[in-house]
Amino acid sequence: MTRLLLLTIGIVFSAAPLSAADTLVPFGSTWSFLDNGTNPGGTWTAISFNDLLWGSGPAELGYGDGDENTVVSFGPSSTNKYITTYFRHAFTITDPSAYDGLIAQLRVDDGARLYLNGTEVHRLNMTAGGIGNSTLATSTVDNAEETALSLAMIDPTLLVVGSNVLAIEVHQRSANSSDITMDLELIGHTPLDPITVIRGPYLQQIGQNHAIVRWRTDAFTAGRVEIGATTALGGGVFTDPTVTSEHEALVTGLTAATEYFYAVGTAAGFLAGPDADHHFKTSPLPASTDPVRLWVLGDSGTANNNAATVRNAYTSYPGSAATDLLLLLGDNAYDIGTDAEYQEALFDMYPSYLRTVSTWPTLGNHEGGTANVTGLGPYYENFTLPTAGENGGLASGTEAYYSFDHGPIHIVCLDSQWTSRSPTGAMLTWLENDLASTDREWIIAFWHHPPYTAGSHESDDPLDSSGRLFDMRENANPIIEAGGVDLVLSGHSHSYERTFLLDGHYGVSSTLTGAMLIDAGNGDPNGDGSYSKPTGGAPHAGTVYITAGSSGQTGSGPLNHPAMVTSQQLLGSVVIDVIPGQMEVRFLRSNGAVTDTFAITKSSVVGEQFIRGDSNGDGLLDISDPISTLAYLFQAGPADCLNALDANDSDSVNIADVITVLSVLFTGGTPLAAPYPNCGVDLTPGAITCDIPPCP
Amino acid sequence: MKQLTSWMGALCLLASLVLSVEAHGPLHERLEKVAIRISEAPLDSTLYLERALLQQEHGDLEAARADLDRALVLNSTDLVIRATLASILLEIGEIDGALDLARAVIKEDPEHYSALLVEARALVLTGKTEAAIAAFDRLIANGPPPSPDLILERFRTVRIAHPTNSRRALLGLEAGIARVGPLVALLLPAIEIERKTGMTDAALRRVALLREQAGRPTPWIVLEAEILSEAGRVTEAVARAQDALRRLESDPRRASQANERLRSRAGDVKLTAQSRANCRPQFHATQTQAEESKGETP
Repeated sequence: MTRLLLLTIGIVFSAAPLSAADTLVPFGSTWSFLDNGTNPGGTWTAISFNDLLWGSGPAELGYGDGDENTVVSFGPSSTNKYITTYFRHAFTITDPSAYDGLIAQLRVDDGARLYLNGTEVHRLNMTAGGIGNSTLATSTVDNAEETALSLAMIDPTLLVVGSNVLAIEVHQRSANSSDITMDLELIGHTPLDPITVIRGPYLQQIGQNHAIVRWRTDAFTAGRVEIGATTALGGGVFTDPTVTSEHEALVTGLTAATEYFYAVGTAAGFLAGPDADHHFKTSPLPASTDPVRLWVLGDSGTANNNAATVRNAYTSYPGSAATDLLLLLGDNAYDIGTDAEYQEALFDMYPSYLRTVSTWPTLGNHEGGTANVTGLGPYYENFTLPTAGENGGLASGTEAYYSFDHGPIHIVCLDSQWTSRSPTGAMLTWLENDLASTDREWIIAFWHHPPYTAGSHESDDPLDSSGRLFDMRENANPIIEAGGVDLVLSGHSHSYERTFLLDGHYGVSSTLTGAMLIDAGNGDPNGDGSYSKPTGGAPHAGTVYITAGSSGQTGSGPLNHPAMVTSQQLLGSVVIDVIPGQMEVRFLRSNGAVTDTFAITKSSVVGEQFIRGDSNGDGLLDISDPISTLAYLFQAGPADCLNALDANDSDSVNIADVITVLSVLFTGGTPLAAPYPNCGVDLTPGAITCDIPPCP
Repeated sequence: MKQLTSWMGALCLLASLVLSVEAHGPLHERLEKVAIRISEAPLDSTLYLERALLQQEHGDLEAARADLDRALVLNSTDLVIRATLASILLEIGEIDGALDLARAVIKEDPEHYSALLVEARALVLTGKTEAAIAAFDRLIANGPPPSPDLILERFRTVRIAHPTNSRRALLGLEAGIARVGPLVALLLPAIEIERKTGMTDAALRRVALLREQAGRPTPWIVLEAEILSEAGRVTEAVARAQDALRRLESDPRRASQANERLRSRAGDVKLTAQSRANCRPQFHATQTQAEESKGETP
């Protein structure tokens, strides 16, 4: 990660101001200002800079709102105002070592760059790149935002004995913007003040024997994580010696498929945990038969009631407490993925999942506004993603795209936003070889721009999103399908659209043919039946594509793409359950209803599917089945699929199987072993077989 | 921080303008809204920049250029506007104009990432490949860790400039690998060069890096067998081919087309190598030694 680059972290802070531990610079302080449109030169942020010729007055400074204590000039033209106004304030510190954290609270309209003693420490609504006198803010601050405060954590070691200077340049969003605002408070956090976790903890890259724990504090300290098998901990201590507010600790030496409790804090004590809310489970081994649950959110970054209802619906849904992985399909934080927007849309919205589940994101077009292919920006700062195959898969060399393993699943994340989508580019070259190199049974891929959609975006339009949808369909999909990917997840369109089991559909929707539908059914185990694929990532055996960008809002669109089994303009999220031989996928609406279900089953020899106990092969378990088994045992009756007769999975057929079925039917006995109650393969193959499979 | 962040240049601002636009309704609606705002504030250069980016999203590069020309008249010093115009000119094909504008931006901000990229690409298109390589070198050496694509772009430029100088191309890849690690996208072209130039052991070392990363190493073992076979190292080639065939037999994907191709390749290696061994055993030994020696000398 690029954490070392950070001197500060900006945080949205729209509630009441922090209580001052030691207010070094109060709101309403007197500031010097330069408001004549000129650039004061490169040394203007330094302590020694002479600003005696500048104007001076108490904050709030600015113009256009009518609430300023000091009005500054915007120049001779109200339609072509000065873009940048400069401010300085000196304050005295007698003992810099008294502080272990500095917190600046800014009220700024529209954008700003903040310095302490000549070092840049924070940007607000400004590009991450070079900034000049005429550089515009990246977004407008208006209405309620004008009174909101943003927070910046500042390294206290920048303080010096004696005079210190805060300098801030405020940038307009446009030359005819009506107003600017500047006021600021600087609070010193001392070792005697309590330290608070203000983000997280949250988990990254949970593997078989390691995990990364991250959290943010309101003071600069070294970090510490302790783990254990119970909330009593005692299983090991891991430190992050960097004195920072942005903590990241690598926890190692763990055991696969094991539950751990944890707490984060400092050498002085815990700040979060240990308790029942702070725990995680390490990844299972490849051959694990443990169920795996993935929760998938697309375009969830609205930070509003829509996102909350989708979250609440999932929390109420069976199995949510056993979530293993959280996938984010991009547009995770509107509008441009600033740190403050991430705080609201992600960290404040899903804290209980983030602290117990490994989160795996992809870059959407919206966070693409503050993060790009150079690997800098809040998206890359907020996540610690694998670049060297740390969690399985081939090294990608970039956090923009990566892969990882979780038990029997290989998961691939692509960047459809900024990285080259050329077939000869680095990403698709990596993809092809990464897929060829995996030994996992299931393969899931995800990226932001959907190859098939007729929602708020249109995959038939070559100009939509600068051709990104076209590119992914034409260039990535052939590799995806040749590589045996089972499921592709995307967002961008604010709807839920799900295809048939497809192969070879790389053109616009009108080019879809029946031959491209590997299975033209709906894939519902209780409908047309599950999709069936051979085991082991077989190429061109069919892929299901889901567009699921409705976890934060819905959008308009015809929703008529012919490759879709279903298209729904509904808020919701995707729930994926993987058990041996089967992946079951559901769309969970924000009201708790499941409005799409399909499954993919895999068997080493396609066709050997049956329902355990269904002796007569009629697809149902009823009284006729034990009768059929009795006929086989004692009257030499027919039995095309002995596996189905083996109700107790003992690898033999005898009277105990009859009793087992009767028990299930009439006395509420334990449900039969898989495959039951739906068609599937024998997960415990033995001597007896299924010569004529009854299932399709 | 300043140095690294300034590599982002104005790209992020552009991105935020373009991308916040993208999901806020169809482009034509956005264009209409910006047009109304422009009619209300015809001297606001940022509105023309905003509309230019929308036009670019819509594929109307000439309209984008016209808006940027207007924006530049209103605010001739803004680096964002100038760098954006440079990239539009490059897309349009006005290479010289793009180059001039990019260089003007670079003069004011020597670390301006997008301007440096426009400069490098424009130099490639004007045939000044040596200067382009130098421009890529500046991007790779001084900026944040380069993307694998940037290293590949430089590599391809070197191949254009010096099609017969494999060593120079290889050195560039080596430098890239040293910066970003043993990535398949960089290792494969290096392996290809090394195969063609008889640097067998070097190629095998790179394949081993990929084999070690792979949960399923069979494809890389087949590649090792092929490289060994090409080098005439029959015994090793056959051993690797047999190893691959054994793995394919126990692979759950044994019936797949991909595995059939791997099986075929491994089988070819075995047949070819054995055929050589049977026909020319003494020559083989000599050749193997020679190739090994050749492989150790880059």
